[in-house]
Amino acid sequence: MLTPGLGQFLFFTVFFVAWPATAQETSASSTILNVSSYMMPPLQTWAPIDGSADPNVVITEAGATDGDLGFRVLHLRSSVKGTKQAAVDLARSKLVQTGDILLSFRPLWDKTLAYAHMQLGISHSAMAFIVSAGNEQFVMTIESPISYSSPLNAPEHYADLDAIHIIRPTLDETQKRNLEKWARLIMSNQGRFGFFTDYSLPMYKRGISNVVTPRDEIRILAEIALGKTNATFESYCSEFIWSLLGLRNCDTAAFDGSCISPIFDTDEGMLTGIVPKISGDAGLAQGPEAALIGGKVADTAKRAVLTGSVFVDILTDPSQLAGRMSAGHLKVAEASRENMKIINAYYIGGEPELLALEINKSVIENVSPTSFLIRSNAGMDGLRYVGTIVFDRH
Amino acid sequence: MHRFISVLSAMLLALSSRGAAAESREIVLNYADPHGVALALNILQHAEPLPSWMREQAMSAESESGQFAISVQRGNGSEQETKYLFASKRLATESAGEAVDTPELRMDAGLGQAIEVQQASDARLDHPICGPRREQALPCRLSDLSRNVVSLELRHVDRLPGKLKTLLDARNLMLDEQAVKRVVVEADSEHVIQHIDFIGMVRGRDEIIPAPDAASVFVVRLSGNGVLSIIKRSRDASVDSNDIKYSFEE
Repeated sequence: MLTPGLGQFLFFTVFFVAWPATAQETSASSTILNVSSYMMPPLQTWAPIDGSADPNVVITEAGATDGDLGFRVLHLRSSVKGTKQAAVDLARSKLVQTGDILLSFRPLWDKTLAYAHMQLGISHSAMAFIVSAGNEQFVMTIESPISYSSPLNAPEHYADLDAIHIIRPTLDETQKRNLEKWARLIMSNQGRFGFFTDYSLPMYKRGISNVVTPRDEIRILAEIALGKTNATFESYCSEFIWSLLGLRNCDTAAFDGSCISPIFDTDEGMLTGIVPKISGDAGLAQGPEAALIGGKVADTAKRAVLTGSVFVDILTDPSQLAGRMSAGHLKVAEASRENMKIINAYYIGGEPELLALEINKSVIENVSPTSFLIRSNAGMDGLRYVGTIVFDRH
Repeated sequence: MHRFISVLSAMLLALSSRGAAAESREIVLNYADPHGVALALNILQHAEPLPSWMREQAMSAESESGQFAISVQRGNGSEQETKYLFASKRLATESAGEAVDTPELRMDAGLGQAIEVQQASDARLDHPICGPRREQALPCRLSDLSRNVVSLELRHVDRLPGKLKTLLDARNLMLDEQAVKRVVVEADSEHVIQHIDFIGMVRGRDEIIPAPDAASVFVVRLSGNGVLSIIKRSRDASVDSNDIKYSFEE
């Protein structure tokens, strides 16, 4: 006969074996997220969340040693990295919502080259949708290259992706449904979408007929998705996500262009170089600055970080950089070296407006994957930081 | 009752054994000991015979086996150059009190990251472990993990370059100079290496890898017993966009 004492013993034994203590599992916590403070989002930009609805996704918080900065860490099992199960776990956790922007974060870019620091370690952007197949819900991405669109298991990208930031635009239910409809059209016509490799040349600068402003990119995306033109939409990752977000107010059944609304509230909807105190210190080069300002770091300390840690090359040995970034990114970093020195001088000089205006003259309006984090760090455009996914639970 | 306890005990044992088997861990060397990555990549690729002062460290008992340390020096310009220093107690003992040459070996795997390895005195063995942080004082010593990776390679180094070339030719693959290089070590609970994956080292000749931060699906794997193979990564589950439903379609 099963005695009460034996029953309790067996119950707790089973419980212990089936559900290992989460504190021990996450104690390693992501040493990979042990990066410079300026790469962390300001605490005041964190989106409120209800917590994880699934035991396979454990939340912890990791603060910076200086400033009100840190990561809200979403710990998934190491075994699910690059697999559909990660997408299932995240959907079940309810921590990812339709319309969320997923940013590929490369912690190994920390303490390397100025350009990589300026980009806050961000190399790619995608958009998440909560979809279902049968009784199973999971996260499905849409992104450029379109072939990477997947339940987080495209091996070329997600197999080696150690950390993913989640940035949440402010979207109501109608906007989310609109984005879903556009995603459906895009995924039903994947052959119309190609990848453009030159991130320094946005679509409206390529001499494409009828695409001469950033807003035209959003319009042409809609027309291609609706099949109104036989053109192809060739874009880099951030351009694609920015354009798609610009259609959040547009119903696929009644598109006329008047609904287009770029997600960034700037003159042209994209970002520019250094905007001197006009647009909230959130230009393309101002991600680290926006983080430090949002993190309430004192001006003198902020300047010391920007001039001594951000806009400087720290690791220049090619043999060591090969294990941290691709040759393509290295090439861009090298080509940007002189510009990084100019920006460094700008901060050393106390951010003179005239110099900023001069720098801006040479930078066209553009959007990088980092742009979404920059604007979130600056508390702008309704973008909030949800958390950073890592795969470190055993 | 007895049957219930037997079944429950079997379940508990099954859960326990699954837990033990699951202790095999994957360690990304790029995070654990980034300086070990370039060394491991170059040894794998080095086509020329390695000098005896490097190779014999793999043959030595652990107490006498060599250590790799690194130092950083300035190159001709302002760029840094990393030099790997190799020392072993046995070699130091043999040469004690004698003026010895300090042979160097330049290794260039053709992946854009040539390195130099120099034999050093036993004084190098006492440096702290390098670790993942850049602010670690130099010189420093590579971790035991890196040493184990290198030892595994050195034990089979005679066959590796030729074997790799054969594999690449057979699979229509080529070396990849673009992708970031990752070294992922699978080890069991006793820290015995099961295999080492070299990601981003090769690519298909006809493979299209459009995004700058992507890597080939083809991976070079060195098993714990020195067998070299090519692994092709694929999606664990294919999702047809026609089979999924967005919420507006529910």
